[in-house]
Amino acid sequence: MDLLERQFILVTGKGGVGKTAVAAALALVAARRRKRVLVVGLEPRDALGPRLGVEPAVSPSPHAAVPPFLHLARVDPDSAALDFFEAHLPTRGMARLLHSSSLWRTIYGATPGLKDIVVAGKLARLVLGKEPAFDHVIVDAAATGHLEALYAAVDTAVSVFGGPIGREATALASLFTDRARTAVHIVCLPEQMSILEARDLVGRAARRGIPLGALIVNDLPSPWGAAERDVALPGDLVRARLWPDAVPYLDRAMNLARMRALSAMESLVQGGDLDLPKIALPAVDDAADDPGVVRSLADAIVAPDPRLAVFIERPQGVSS
Amino acid sequence: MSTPAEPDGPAGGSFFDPGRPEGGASPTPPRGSATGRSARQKRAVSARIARPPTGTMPRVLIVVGSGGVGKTTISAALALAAARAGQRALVCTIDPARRLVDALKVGVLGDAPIDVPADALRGAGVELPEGAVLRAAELDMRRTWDRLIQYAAPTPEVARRLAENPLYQRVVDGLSGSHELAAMERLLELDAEEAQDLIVLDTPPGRHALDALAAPDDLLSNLDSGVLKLLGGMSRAGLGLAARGAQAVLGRVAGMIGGKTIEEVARFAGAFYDMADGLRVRAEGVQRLIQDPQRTGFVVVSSARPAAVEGALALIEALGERKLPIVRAIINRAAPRIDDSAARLLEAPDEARRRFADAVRSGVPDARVAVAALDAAVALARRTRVESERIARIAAALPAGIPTAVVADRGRSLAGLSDLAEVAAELS
Repeated sequence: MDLLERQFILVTGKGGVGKTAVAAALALVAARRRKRVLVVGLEPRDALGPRLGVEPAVSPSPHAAVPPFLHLARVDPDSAALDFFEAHLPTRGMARLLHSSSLWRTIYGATPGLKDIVVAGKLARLVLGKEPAFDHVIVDAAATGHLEALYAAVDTAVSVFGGPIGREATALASLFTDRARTAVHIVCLPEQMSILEARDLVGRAARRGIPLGALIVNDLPSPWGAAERDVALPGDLVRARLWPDAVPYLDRAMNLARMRALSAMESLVQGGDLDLPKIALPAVDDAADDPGVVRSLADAIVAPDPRLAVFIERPQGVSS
Repeated sequence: MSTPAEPDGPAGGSFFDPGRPEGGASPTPPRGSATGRSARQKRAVSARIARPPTGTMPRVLIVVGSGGVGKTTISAALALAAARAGQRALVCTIDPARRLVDALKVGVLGDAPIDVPADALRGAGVELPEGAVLRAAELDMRRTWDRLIQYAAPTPEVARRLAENPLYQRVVDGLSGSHELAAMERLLELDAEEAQDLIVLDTPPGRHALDALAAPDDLLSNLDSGVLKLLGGMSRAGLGLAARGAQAVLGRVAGMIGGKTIEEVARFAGAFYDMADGLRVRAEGVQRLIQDPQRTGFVVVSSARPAAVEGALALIEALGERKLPIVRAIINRAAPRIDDSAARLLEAPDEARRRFADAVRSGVPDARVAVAALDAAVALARRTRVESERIARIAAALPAGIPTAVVADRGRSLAGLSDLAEVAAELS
């Protein structure tokens, strides 16, 4: 599947799976294709900037142009609310006054779903806006639990909220669930818990109207013939060509590598019947600096390593 | 404790009684509640914390760390290590993996601690000393919050009002960041039971765990007590009684998001306001417990991956700022130490490869395997070197004398109790 088929792309997954790196890599791929792409972070601390080798944008401008095609922004509930007020109140002054009132802050903090709707509204404006217009808006989205909450909030907003928030809600719901315009990619690791989490989300996605894209399995080890029988280290050869004490360390390294491959394989087989296109991404040398890691991932997206296919292809003879 | 609290604020007239403290100061407790549950509970909690630790008071380990580092497994391993050392140890988990729960052979993990069966441990090669036990529980958000509001409410009526509020479900679901509060509340409960020598508390990933340990007045994020009081008052006396300035703001907010929502929030906030005093007592109890180095220690868990290490460093700094005692750091899934062979390979990997070139060319059996193993060894050695630098950064950030333990990468997740026992042995 082409991960960049849609205009609006949300990248989700549990903490620690590599969501941010993958979102950044997707953005880089799009930019290399000379598309205008905006990549957006939702965290209070900018994690995308370091990954792309960019200084965080200095407010008030939310976009920092990297190369001509790649733009970076941060959306947070607070500034998104101010944005919203400025759009719907007669003057900037009124917007600021309301936004800074502790009464508003209390209500904003305590009302379920309100922050999500406001953030979603800001994202929608970025996607649908004409100045500037982006070919892609890629969001380093929240972990799966929060993504589901966001979709739930968007879904119920029409009946729960009134005023301009309520009115926006319909258009929001339409964009976020539109399979033609939006895709939600799930990033996971080749570990049992991660796969099961992804599977849970896939199971609930339809009900929540989440338009799933692909399952991106990240951090895959070298396969080491993971499907094959035992491989033994030729001790005599190693002792002869290297030195006598070389065998234990080589043996250990090899066994660890094979164990990783076997374990990855096992976890994917267990989650195997996930009805979603799968993309395999390699474990990348994380000693490289962050932009180096993202470039490697972008390369892997564009030119997938055929050896990793063994992890994500369905085994022969298994009925679907 | 049967006197119901008088309603806060006068029956009619302005809410802004000049006699009441406003803004940032703690709200005066409503008449009647001072003689109720809150005050008695406060005395009990204070008395308990003020005593020097006795044989019956459990020690507490609070395990923090970024997502995906293996906090829950490490928490369970720490409890197992303590049990092996003769203690009655309990691990309270947050969101345990199926595999861990299966490994513990307790069926389903729930609110009430359950003993890991001795024969399950024996089967994994673990024999516990006389009197020792390993117990496990999982944080039950619903039950914990229901109990908390019972403790904190001045009357059962107030608790019921909150429990019936549709916004309460959101708190119970943990989406409003209430996981951390619930974990701390559960800790206070388990501590009071004095049924364990050690409680190991798993926490939700990331820094939010520490936000819940903030000053008692910051219980509910973004809710400042002056506004809370206002909303609480409004919910009882009707929106019309708010002072003119507040009314203007409310009007605008209602215009933005709809008036019905504001009413619901006002009712919700009102119910919480009524419990503010009781919630504060609990929060103060937690504060004192976790800040007492004789009772509590924090364990920072990380992996050797860059993001987790940054997370650990941020946690160490935050713990230091809040004067919370760190007892150790644990690096999980680390590459093995470099031995002499590995060091030699690191120095001249290409030369090592060349030694196999002719064997590969002439088709010596398994020569390719040897080369693949060599590549894996070089990669592993490099990984260890990079990881060592990161581990050193963590060690350097810790307070003086606090150790850093390293748990080896096994290349796979936990398979059973014997795996857990191996990790426990590494942590002993």
